[in-house]
Order: sequence, then C-alpha cells, then structure tokens
Amino acid sequence: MSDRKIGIEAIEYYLPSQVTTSDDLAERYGFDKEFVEKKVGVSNLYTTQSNETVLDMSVRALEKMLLARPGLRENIDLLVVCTQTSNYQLPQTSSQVQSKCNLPNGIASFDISLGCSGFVYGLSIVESMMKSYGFSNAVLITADAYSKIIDENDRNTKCLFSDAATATLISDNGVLLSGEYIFGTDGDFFDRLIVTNFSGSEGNSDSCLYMDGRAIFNFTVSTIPDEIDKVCAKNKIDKGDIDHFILHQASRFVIQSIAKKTGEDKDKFVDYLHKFGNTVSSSIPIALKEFLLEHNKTGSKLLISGFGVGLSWASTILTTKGESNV
Amino acid sequence: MSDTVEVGLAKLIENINPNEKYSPDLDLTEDLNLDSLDIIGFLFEVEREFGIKISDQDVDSYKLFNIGNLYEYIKNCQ
Repeated sequence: MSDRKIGIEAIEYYLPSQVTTSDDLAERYGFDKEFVEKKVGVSNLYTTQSNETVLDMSVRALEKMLLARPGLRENIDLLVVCTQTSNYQLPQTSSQVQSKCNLPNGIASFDISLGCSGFVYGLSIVESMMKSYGFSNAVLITADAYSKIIDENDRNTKCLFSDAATATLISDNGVLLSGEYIFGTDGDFFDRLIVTNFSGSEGNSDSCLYMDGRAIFNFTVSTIPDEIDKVCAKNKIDKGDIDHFILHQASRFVIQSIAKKTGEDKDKFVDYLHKFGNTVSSSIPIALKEFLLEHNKTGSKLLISGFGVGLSWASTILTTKGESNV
Repeated sequence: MSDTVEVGLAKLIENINPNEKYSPDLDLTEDLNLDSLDIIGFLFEVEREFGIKISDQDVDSYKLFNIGNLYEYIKNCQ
C-alpha cells in the first residue's frame, strides 16, 4: 500500500421532487405532529415518482458532480454504487450508470449491497483500491428508494425513510481525510430489518420492508457507543477531542440515545433528519455536505459511523483539511 | 427499600422524571407520559438493568406498561 493521502474531494446529492411534510404524515398516520418532528426528527421526506428509479437518482447525483467539474468524466477510474433497491436483481446498477453518464469503458465498476453502513464501507473499499491500483479519481454513489419497498400502511417506516442518492468524489485532492476504520457484523439479527422477496413490483406484501424497531434500537444503542470508543482508540484520539459525531441519521431518538450513552455533549451529534429524513446509505454523505457548508474549519475531527441492515456497522474518523467545503 | 427489583425500577423511573417515585400503580403512558419511542428506550434500560429479554408479545400479554406488572414479570424472569 502507498502512503498517498487520498480523501473526499466533493459530495453531491440528489433528492426526488415529491415531498411529504410532517403535517401530511401526522394527518395520514394519526401521529402528533410534535412527535414526528421532535422524536422521530422528521419534517420533510422525499419520494421518487413511480417511474423514477435508483438508477435515475444515481445518474442525477453523478451528473451534478460532473457538471461542476469539466474534464472529470473522462478521468474516473473507479465507480462503486451502494444500493439494495436497484432496478434489477441483475445486472448491477454501476454498469448502467457508466453507460448513462458516458464514463470510459476502461473504468472499474461494481455494486456493493449494504444499507446504512454502506457509505463508510464504500469509502474504505474505494480508498484501498485507489492505493492498490494507483487510481486517481473514484466515485462512490449511494442510492436507495425505500419508498418502493415500504408498505403504505406501515406508519413506523413510512414516517422515517426518504429516497435519495449521493455521489462522492475521492481523489488526491481530498479535503476530508479518513483515519483507521473499524467494521462489525451480527447476522443473528438479519431478519430484524428485511425485505424477503423484493421484485420491484408494487402491491406484494412479501416485497415490503419489515423493521423490528425495538430490536434495531436495542442493537444500535448497545453497540454503537462502544464502537465509538473503539474507533477513537484505534485512531489514538481521545473521544473528547472529536469535534462532531456524524452518525447515520436513523432517527432523532436513536441519535440522542447514542449521544446519551457516550456521555459526550449532545450538541456534538449532527442532526439533519428534519431536512431529509432517514436516507439509508446516503444519510452520512448528505450530513457531511450540509455540515461542512456551515462549519468550514481545518483540522476538525469528524467521527462517522454507519449502522443498520445486516446487521452491519462501520466507523472511521475524518480530518478536515484546508477549504473543507465539499 | 431492600428489594433489588424495586430499587432498580425506582432508579429507572427517576431517570425519566426525578419527581416520580416507584409505585405499583404507575402506568408508563398515563403517569410517566411516555410515548412509543420512550417506551422502547425504557424497556431497553429495564433489559440491561436486570439482564432479561422482554418480547413484544409479553409486553401485551402481561400488560407491562403497568409498573406493578413489570415488577412481577422481572421477578419471575430472575
């Protein structure tokens, strides 16, 4: 492995135009609006139209990136797409993105099937491959459309998840440099967050998302605070020296419960749920982008941790460098 | 108060509302004003405190929103 300082240079995201507000959710599902906004933490959720797919969202996120960077299109060496709600069981979404965006045929591309831990896993995979094979520019796309797998009548999932896609450019010009990673898996609880028979067709109850909210809550609150300690130890950083914790935006209740367990100031835990809802593997890159627009300071330590489907989790610590707007 | 289950439950109740004391008549929703997410958090803390697992079915069957019923349930699990 080389000693190249590879990092995140830019992040773009795409949200579908169909918006559901907390007023809509409260009225439709019989919740108090205050409960939806203050406890679940959601004010707006984004939903794809019936003819808009994960591929469409992926292409739109990447095209935003390419539009802002002339010359990049021809110079991407690696494309990784993280999704679990792709248009087809096969082929992989990445090859269709390559085609739709006119990326070179010489590009390496593949999908990874992960949920909310996917961004952190993807980042580590991309960085490793760039160092191993001397790639200059890589793009990591995260994209999911849970609206297509959620039962319209399941108020617990319907009031939480948003559709979204992000494109992250990783290069030698990175302004967010990652430290050591840690990973984890507990397949004993694979069926606590599951779609048993997703075929892309609507109206089939077998194709709907099942989430055991209590089990997922128990997992995150009993696992992630310890993982935060572990990733700090692995990076030889005192937990108190972490400037901000950018966790997967599961729900406000989950983030606040984890914050409480860590004993750290809850204001250090970044929360953009109100703007975007739970966007699965896109929640960390969207939160990073939004956070850095507001807090642009070199040398900040940002702990990122993704956790969910699998059950699976991954964490690292990012350090901001120079102009850290992404 | 020497009963460890009562002491443990009293501590968890105090964490939610420092002005509320342990009583078998307390109800998680009506007296402690817990919403559905708070209850998930409270049951998580109960499981950790007493080293037990509480299934969703048992929450309904044994009416565990009532603190007195929850006390008996924990005693039987130990």
